[in-house]
Amino acid sequence: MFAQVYAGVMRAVWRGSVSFGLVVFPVRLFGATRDRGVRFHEVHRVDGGRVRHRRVCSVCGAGVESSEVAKGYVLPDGRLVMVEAEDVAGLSAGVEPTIEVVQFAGVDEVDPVLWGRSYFVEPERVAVGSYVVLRDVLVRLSRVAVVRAGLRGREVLGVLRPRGGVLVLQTLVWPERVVEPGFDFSGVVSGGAELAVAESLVESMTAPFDGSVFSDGYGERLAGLIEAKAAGAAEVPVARAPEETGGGVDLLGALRRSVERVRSGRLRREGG
Amino acid sequence: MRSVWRGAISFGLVTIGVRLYTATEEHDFRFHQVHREDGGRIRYKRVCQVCGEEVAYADIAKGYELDDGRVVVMDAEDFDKLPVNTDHAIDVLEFVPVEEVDPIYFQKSYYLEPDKAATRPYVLLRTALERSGQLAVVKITIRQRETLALLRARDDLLVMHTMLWPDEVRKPDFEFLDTDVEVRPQELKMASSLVESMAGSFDPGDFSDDYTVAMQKVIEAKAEGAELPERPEVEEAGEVIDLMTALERSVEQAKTARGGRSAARKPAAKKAASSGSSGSSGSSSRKAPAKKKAKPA
Repeated sequence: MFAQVYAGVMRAVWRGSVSFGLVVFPVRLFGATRDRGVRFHEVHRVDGGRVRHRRVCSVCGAGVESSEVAKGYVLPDGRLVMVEAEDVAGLSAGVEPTIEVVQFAGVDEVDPVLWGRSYFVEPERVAVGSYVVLRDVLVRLSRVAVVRAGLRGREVLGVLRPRGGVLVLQTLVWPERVVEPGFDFSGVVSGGAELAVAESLVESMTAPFDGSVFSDGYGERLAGLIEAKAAGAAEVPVARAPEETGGGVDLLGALRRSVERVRSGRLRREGG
Repeated sequence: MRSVWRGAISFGLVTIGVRLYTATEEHDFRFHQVHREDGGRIRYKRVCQVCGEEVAYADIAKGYELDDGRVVVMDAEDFDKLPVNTDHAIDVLEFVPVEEVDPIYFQKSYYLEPDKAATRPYVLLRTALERSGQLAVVKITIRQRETLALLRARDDLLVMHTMLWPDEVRKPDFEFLDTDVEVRPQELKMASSLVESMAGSFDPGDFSDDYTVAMQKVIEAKAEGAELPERPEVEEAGEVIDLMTALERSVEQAKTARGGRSAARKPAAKKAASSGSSGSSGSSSRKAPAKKKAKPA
């Protein structure tokens, strides 16, 4: 019954080209991810009718058609600037549907704070040769391509990297959007004994990363609840038992006991 | 900065009180919908499609549409039945080497600030992560949704990256993956030298969002009633050459460009824009080293 949530027909979201030096080849982009969160609609409780949103002007009170709507930007002094579609059309004029390689770098040089959305890059039939050369070279040199790409009329910063035979375009947040925190706490250097035990705790809890081990407990319970309601019998899922916490005072002791627990298998990977 | 979440990391039996702060700003310009005629802010009136009546907020429930078209109406008390993880915990599940996590999973990033009393274990975990080159895989509940996330040492801080669930990443089933593609060794070699000649360390400071700057200008111009910035010219495509020739010429150009200190990374257009000229987001001068484009046959 959740077919609509999980079914994912891949449809190209973008067509354009990759330019790598003077090599230019046509490609298509596909969204690499999907939101599988359960999607609800607003409904009228009384009759189950779908709720529609009608635009109403808060000044004149009249219903407003979408053609009568402009974008409003409030200046710091409170004045309103109305921006029309044709005002911003010019901003996209120079943005070409191109993924332009501007440099190559090591993937570990990209601060993960910057990672944004991912797209799979598919070569058009004529471009398979060029695509494969770029992909294979990135694999061999362990590099990623830093690109500027024109997507939806806007230029975005991104990285092209090989992933299982396919090039992935992953957008980056514009670096100027990264907020520097400036927290005020002194970097207390931790004692040697604590650090040694902490490191052995990290080590004993280390495993190869396999995302499929983990599951979205809430999502599963919600799906179960909807199913139960659809069948007319609302079952109550079982609540999660609280876990033991503590050890805030005696740090070293807590660390030691943690290591013991992990070794004896009493701390599991999946707590939910 | 305002914290968006408050809770504690539980790492084995150690508890570390922390606050989360969003690490990136999402919206550059926040526009409202306004009525063009009088500038009035647009509000939404909720109307029921079945009875046509305006619906008060209290009379709205959540509906889930089944595949057969039936709608399951969920009331607040239905959601109350769901056990929600409210213990405000960031549970460390395991540790993984940094290079094992596919960046495709990354979503939002948060800075973690330790509570006063928790500075010591915080620094300890941060140091242990840094020295071991590991990331902590954690589970956290934010706005009632369980999320998989990673804790990472970044400078003096712990950063948390929320992740997609594995089944939220699609599998690309592209046809070309099943075809045998012959790559000529000379092409690969030439492509390698092109990559090498365009290689450099990634400095995020080299890049900025020209669109936002241009948008700022549009708003300023409109505010003053001035004319809008001109549209930049669009570059035209060049001759058609084959892949090998394109690679060779690219290497030459990249090497020449290197002489003038990585022209590829510092687009001239950006400087022009920031020094206040009206030619905003020009893309034509940013094309170095690829001045002439070519489509391989």
